[in-house]
Amino acid sequence: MLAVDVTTRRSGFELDMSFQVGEDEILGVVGPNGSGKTSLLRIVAGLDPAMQGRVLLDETRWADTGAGIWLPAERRSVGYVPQGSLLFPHMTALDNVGFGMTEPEKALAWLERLGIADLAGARPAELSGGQAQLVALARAQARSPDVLLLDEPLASIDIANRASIRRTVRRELQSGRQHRIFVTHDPLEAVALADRILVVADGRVSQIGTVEDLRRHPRSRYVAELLGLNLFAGTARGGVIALADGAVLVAAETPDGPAFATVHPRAVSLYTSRPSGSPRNIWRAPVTAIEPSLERVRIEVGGSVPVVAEVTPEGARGFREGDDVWVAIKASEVQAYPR
Amino acid sequence: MSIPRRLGILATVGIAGLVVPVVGLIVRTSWGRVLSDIGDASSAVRVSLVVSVIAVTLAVLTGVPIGWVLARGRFRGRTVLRAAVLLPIVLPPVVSGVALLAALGRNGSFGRWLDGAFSIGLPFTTAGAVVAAAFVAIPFVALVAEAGFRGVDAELEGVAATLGAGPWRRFRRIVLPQAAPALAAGIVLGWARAVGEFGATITFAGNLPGRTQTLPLAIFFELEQDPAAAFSLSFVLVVISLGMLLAARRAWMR
Repeated sequence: MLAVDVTTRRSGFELDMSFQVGEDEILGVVGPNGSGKTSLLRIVAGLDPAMQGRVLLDETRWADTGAGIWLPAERRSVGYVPQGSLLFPHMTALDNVGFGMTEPEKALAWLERLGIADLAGARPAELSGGQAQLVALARAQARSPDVLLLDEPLASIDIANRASIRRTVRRELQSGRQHRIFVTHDPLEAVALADRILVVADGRVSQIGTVEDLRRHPRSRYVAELLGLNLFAGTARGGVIALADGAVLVAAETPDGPAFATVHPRAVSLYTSRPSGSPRNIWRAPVTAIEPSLERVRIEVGGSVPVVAEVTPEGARGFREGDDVWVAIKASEVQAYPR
Repeated sequence: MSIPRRLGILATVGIAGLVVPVVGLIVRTSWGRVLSDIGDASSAVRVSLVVSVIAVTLAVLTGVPIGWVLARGRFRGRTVLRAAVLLPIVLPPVVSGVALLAALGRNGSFGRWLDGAFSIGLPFTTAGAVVAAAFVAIPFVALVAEAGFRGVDAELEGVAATLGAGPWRRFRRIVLPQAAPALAAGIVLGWARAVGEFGATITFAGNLPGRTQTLPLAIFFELEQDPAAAFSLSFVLVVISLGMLLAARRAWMR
């Protein structure tokens, strides 16, 4: 078990986080750029001497500043794959992998394991972003560290190679018994690779849980947006959630008291004229933005209860920004849970 | 891209000013005498070699660590420290010599202690000439080394640390190889500066043939007695300097 409970402060930025990662577990850290993800990895790696608090690996204290303990990186059993790989430019791929090994002659086996033995003699400058990433991963893993840290492992990979490299990274992440933490700005990547997800915002833990936990019960607008959900906060009683501004949302079931509710954007229907039929939640509001993507069109509707709808390109034809539309949501599509 | 005419003219004037004296020297050199003149000045050549090699060794041993401290150190007063270290580059050499005399002369504050405690007297000795040359060479090595170290991504050292490398191994295996071209250039520049030292040397170490009389001093005093010999020796220094410049450039550009 890796237990982290730390703070650090640097020119206007403050990080304050507490969480644990089990052996055999992959923790995905998601958050916007500048939220403190890389700082967190550097603290765990032992690259931030200014941190305060505790980093414990089982019974070993990597850092316990209250007791005056702080082990530098070279004394922690840690593998670090920094963003952009950061291979040693004056060494071949093979020498990069062998750098930290007690038996450097076994470095080639690690390149073979990641399917890049043919790159052994190449200099970092000759490698593509994805190849460099794999070498950096081999270099970090070659010491069989207890804790593996990856910073944006898939960010520097060109789209053509993304699938195969993602596969290799995933396989490497999922093999072995290690505490693994990776950082990403891309929620899809976190969902694809992580056992549990830690959402970071402004240097703090916004929410931590399995993908399912987060999807079912996002506890902040940021988390909901990461997962592509509409999130509403209000007070529920008997199937009705009172939102701010006097608006209400009707759900099939609600707890009593402060509650969150989520609605998937595809469950939000838009009409140019008042729909007839059963939907319990119907209101009229202006379209504030229309964003086409490949298969669905995202339409943002403003008013007192802002909501995002996803419709097919055909379904989006009648709408223009600024026009008023009718919003309809079935009560059965509103998922409510205690706040 | 075309060069503005005014700049071109001024640059041409400047280049002519730089090249003409060297050409003049080459023209005045009597080729037949060069070898025998060097032979006559063999003791100055020897002193120059000994002094400059020891001085540049000292400059590397101290200047490289200074460059490291300036590049990576995070402490208050680093700017002041850098200014203090680089001062000898801009100081008139004779002032450097006077300063050395004031501190390390027999009546100097530090020199008296050296003399009393170890019976070491630096002024007017070969060791003094080494000190004078090192005094002006160290800042060059430190300056170029700092630039070289700054060119090495500090993050790479962090990665090396996570791979189990302690500070010394990180310096030796990660930083030094990458800064090597800059360090080589620094060494060449520092050596060139040590070889050419005149003002500080004559002020602090004097002009004692066979002990402190280096090639530049020999040339200066030969100019009154045998100008042709002065031209020969100057020509030799031009060739050596040019060689060093090319070596430094190659190291720099690699």
